[in-house]
Amino acid sequence: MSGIGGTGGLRRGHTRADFLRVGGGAVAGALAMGLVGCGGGDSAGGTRLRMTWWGEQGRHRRTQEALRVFEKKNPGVEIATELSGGDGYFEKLVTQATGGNAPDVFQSEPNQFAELSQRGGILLELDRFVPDLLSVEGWPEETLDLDRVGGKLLGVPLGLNSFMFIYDAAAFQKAGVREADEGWTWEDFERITTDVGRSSGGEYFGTEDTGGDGYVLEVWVRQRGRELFTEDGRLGFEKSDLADWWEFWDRLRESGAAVPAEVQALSTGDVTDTPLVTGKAAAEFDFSNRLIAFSGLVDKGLGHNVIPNGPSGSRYGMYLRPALTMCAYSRTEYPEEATKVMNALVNVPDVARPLGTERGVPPSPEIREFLLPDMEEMEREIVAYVERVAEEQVPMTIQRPVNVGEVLADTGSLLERTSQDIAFGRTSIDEGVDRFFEEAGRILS
Amino acid sequence: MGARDDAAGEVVPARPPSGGRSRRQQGENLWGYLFLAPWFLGLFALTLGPMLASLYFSFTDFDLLTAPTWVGLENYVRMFTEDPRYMQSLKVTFIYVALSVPLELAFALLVAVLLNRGIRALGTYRAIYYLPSLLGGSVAIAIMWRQVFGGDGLFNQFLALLGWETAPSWISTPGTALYTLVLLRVWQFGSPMVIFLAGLRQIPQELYDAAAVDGAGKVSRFLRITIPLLTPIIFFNLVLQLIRAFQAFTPAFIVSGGSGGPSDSTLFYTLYLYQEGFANFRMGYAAAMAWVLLLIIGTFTAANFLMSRYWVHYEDDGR
Repeated sequence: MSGIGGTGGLRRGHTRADFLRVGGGAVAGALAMGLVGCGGGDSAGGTRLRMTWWGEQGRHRRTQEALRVFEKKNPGVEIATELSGGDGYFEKLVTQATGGNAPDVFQSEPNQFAELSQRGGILLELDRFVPDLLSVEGWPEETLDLDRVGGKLLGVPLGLNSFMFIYDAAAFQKAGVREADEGWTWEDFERITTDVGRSSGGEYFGTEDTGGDGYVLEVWVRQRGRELFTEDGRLGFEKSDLADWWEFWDRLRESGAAVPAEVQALSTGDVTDTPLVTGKAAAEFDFSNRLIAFSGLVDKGLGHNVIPNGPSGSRYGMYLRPALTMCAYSRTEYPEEATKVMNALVNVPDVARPLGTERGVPPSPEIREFLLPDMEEMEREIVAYVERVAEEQVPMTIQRPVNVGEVLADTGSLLERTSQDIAFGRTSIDEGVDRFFEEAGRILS
Repeated sequence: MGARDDAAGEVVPARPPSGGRSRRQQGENLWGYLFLAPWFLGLFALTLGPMLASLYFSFTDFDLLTAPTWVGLENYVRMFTEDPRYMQSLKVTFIYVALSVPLELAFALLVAVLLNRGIRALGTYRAIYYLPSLLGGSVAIAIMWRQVFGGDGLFNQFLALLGWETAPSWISTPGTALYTLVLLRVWQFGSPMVIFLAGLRQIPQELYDAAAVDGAGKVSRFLRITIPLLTPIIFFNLVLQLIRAFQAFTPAFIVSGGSGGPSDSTLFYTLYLYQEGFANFRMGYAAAMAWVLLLIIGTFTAANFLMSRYWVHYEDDGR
């Protein structure tokens, strides 16, 4: 048992097993805002859970398969799924939650989780189901930290991921770029992408432009010994960090290493229209688990590497995070069954098998071991990658603040818009930095 | 949302008030109200409640997930004093309305006139030209627009054939993105076109014949007979299209991936409203925006009706 119940968690002395064996009487009101679930599903009548997530075709297929296995193992529980792309998913979920009819189980990612968990009353508290219905045995401690808010566990991480530099191997070879090692720096990155852009004969550019990408900026900022946000939800980095960042990308656009503004603007956050997939750039930054989605979308060999490092002696910027988190709705009629489903996805081998590592590397070491023999080469590489980051990382313990999406994570966030304005030459870097800090300060206050 | 409600309903050309009402007219009115009954039912049972709720929310700070708190006029004040994005969304929307509505109507009229010349298989042509409008609001068409006007899109390949190799990526360049959406609008000229066509077919042929005998040329006949007699139809189309253009949402949402980009150049009013309400958790502010939009549309519609006296001719004038 690791660290469950932390500070202020509502722990009950007794195990809940005997309580549940009675046949799921009313669950005592430990829920925020007094929203009490109506007790466990009536096993005779059958339980019907609603579940939703976003993703591409591949993820839908894997998840449906996993749920079918779960249903076989748990007769009487039926799961109705609501499939979605990423577009509008969160808005719909929030609207449903407002109207009191969100699905019982739903997927979220760190920024959405920050909103849902800190605005209160939407997410089911899970501490009381640990360990009987939800096992976190042997999980790395920091995985759960980010799914805990105010000491309460509000979600189950489906997998761990980190950030990744993904590139078109053939294009890099053509440019005569020797494989960069894991010790490469931003300087190396600039040199390499400039060469790749030059060697393409104008066909593509060296890299996408991530001047407006909050995740890569985060690694950059952490390398400088700071964080994106402070514990109390303010910006945790300096104007100079952002100015240097945008100057760096400005230089790369100038030299033809990075795609021009109008090309980057075609990328709206969907994996299918990223510059790497559309053949506009030979490299791109993304999450490690998305390498699987990428390789399914392009017919070229993809290589990967860590995000470039800061100058020698600087801090290691990357960290492991829950790639995607499953949450249960606080007003679900079936809190136990909902928890069971989430638990099965990460702890029951036959259910976890179809999922593979597509949503990140499973947090349970046992499941990881179980999946390894069946893994494809690429999945193995991703697991190895994540394990290496785990060794090097300075863990991230700061929960993202509400409105994080608006500031630097959503499509069309303040960071992205400002970066775009600079790239299109509509504003100067200094002006952009000032504006960013001013508006972010207002949004976060 | 208040503003999504069709403020127009049906626009009925106003008849000058006649003297006393005959019994027959009263009977007709009764039937009229009877036919309106389902709409009234919908209004009172389904629409009115949410509208009043949104009016209340517009005076509150409401993040969707916790109870709203009363802030008075704060939302309305913030809109016009400290929100540059709001001003940008107004600007984008006004440009869009000012360009797309006249162009769309002119184009629709042109096609209607061409189709009205008694060609064979008129029905088929009419259906073909109407097709884009049927599809127009759809997501698929907007996605196609992305493909057509993107960097390597169909349009640029066509330009390359003509020798312009370095054409910009129209939908992702701040200076041109909005105009591709205007074009998309003009391309959906079908519904005003069909209404124009119906109007054109009602103009008595004798008038043209008489004018021709008097030596009027084609242009003169068009300007002195067709246009004046068509003014009620033009007016009807103008009111309707203006309201629709102010409420445009889908094309910008799809083409910009929901962001209103690049650089907020396609940040339609409704798109910004949606972002604020559903992505940024400021539903109170979004509700206030919706009511301001309702006022804007109401003002334009009223102005339209007031001005119509000076240029719309009804055939039953002075009856």
